[in-house]
Amino acid sequence: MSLARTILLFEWRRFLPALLSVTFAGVLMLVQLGLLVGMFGTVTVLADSTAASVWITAPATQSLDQSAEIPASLAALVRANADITRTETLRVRDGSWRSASGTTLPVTVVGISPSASALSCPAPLKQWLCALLATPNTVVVDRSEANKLDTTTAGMAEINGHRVRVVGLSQGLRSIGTTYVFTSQQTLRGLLDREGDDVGLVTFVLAELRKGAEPATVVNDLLTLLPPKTAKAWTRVQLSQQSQRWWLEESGVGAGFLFSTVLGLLIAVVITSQTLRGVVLSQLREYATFRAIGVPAARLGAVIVEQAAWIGAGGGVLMLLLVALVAQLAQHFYVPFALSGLGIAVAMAVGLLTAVCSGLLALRELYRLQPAELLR
Amino acid sequence: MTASVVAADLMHSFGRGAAQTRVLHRLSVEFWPGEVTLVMGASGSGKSTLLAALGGLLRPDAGQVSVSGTMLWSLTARALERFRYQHCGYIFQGFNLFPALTALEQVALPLRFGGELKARAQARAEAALAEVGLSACAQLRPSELSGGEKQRVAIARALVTQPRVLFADEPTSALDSSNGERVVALLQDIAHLHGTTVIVVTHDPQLMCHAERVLQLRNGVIHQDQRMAPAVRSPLTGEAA
Ligand SMILES: Nc1ncnc2c1ncn2[C@@H]1O[C@H](COP(=O)(O)OP(=O)(O)OP(=O)(O)O)[C@@H](O)[C@H]1O
Ligand SMILES: [Mg+2]
Repeated sequence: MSLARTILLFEWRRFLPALLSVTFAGVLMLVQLGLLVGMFGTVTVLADSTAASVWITAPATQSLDQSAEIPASLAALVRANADITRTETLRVRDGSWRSASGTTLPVTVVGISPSASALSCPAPLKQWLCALLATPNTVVVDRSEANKLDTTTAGMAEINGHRVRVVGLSQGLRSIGTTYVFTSQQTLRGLLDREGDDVGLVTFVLAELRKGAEPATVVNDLLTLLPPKTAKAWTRVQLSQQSQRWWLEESGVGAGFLFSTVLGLLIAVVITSQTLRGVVLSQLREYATFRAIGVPAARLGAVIVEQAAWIGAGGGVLMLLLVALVAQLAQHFYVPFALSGLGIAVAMAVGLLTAVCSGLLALRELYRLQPAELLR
Repeated sequence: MTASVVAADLMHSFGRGAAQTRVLHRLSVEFWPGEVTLVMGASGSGKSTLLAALGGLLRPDAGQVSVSGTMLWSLTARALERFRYQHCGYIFQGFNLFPALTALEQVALPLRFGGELKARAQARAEAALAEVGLSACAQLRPSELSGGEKQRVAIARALVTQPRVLFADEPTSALDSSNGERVVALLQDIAHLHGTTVIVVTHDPQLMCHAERVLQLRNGVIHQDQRMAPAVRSPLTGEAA
């Protein structure tokens, strides 16, 4: 076993603060990132959960939840593209919810096609809830919103003063931006007060592609086909990413996240380098003896850096365990929490880098070392 | 026989201006292989400074040191390090052992840092431990060793690179008198056996009977240079060998 690991294992108590500070900086970063991505991921839950790979929106759309209406007739135009096999419209309108016991709440009513095979039917409703919505004046809400909406399965409520019945609760259709209520387009039409205004207007046109067609290519074709003042085409992924980016920038949460992450890492570097420095200082005479017999400072430094790297790796593993636990808890409490493999890999790399940088900082003591001063 | 360590006109002071203290003043001295030379003198007389200058650890203001014919203070820093690794061994008052390592690992470490393979380093470390009479303690950590044993581990660590010159600064002052004598007797055995030049700084007159020669340092120069009559070997020596 190397000198670095032997010392590390024998005196692990001295190294523990460094390991924990790397761990906690990583956990802080990942939990924030997970909440952030999870939270903003819900903004686009509507797009992410449907099967349609191409979306048509109003031209100035910045984010999925702030889209103006477009003519339903665009669907026919879109179908002219040979790669598009099927289109459908999706209508999203604001409404006012009032539960049986009088709780009122602004909601977003989503009018879908009430069939399990519909493009606009979100994946969590596919199994049976979409089909249930074919019954007039029925709605579906998400399980995680049921409390807020003060309702449950088979509960009665009013939207814009019209009575509706909750036929079921979905799971995984929560959004931080708003509270979604899913219903059929037909029911939605009945809920709208000034029906004359919106005949022929929808919020989105969804399109399904022929198998093997490339969404990005189709979108490019559509962009030249569609009148640019009337509509804009996106792949589902483009629309989703643009919406999340808009939220991240507009809300300022992105900057806050960056700030607190950098702060967390700085604290980790300070604690880790101070811990390592303390260990080096406590063994300075031993190291000085080896400097005296002519072992280059760089060789001794490699011991410290190796220790730092082990601390980074150990901290990374501990961080993964803690973050996995947090993710479990979040799921249990319906808190949106999402982490990509990339995010985790970056956090591990940053943790390792933090530790190694701290190790390099601690090296100063070794290079300053004068054996003649210390061993007199 | 030619001298293995030669110092010529060593000058060294600490501090500047009015606060300047002159420690070595045109000091010249020679040391021979196979001998233990004690360097004695009052506290603050410059013994440690002299030893550091001789051992390539402290660059004197002026003068030269030649070890086995190499002018130490003409070498580059990197070459001096290499020279120290190949020719010099050091023993200090504090034993400076890593608490985490066994005696065998401590002794093998200089070789490992020098790039020696693990198996060879271990074999040479075992031989060095045997030479200081500590084969039985190879697997013990410093916390399980007595003071005298720790210093003998440190000696084995200094020996393992087979240095031509051993520099020891107060190697016995942390030990009781019998352990101290035993350590110096061991150094003398090493000098006789390997022809090593051993230079020991001490202020303990009891050690004089284990030395070939005693130097007294005063006012920055060698004030007295005394050859010792071949002493009656202490019975302790036999045990240590
Ligand atoms: N780095 C330094 N800066 C300033 N003065 C120093 C320094 N090192 C040594 N000195 C001074 O130089 C003189 C000689 O010091 P040195 O350590 O060589 O003495 P010594 O003979 O080894 O003493 P002791 O027996 O107490 O170990 C002392 O007066 C000391 O105060
Ligand atoms: Mg001294």
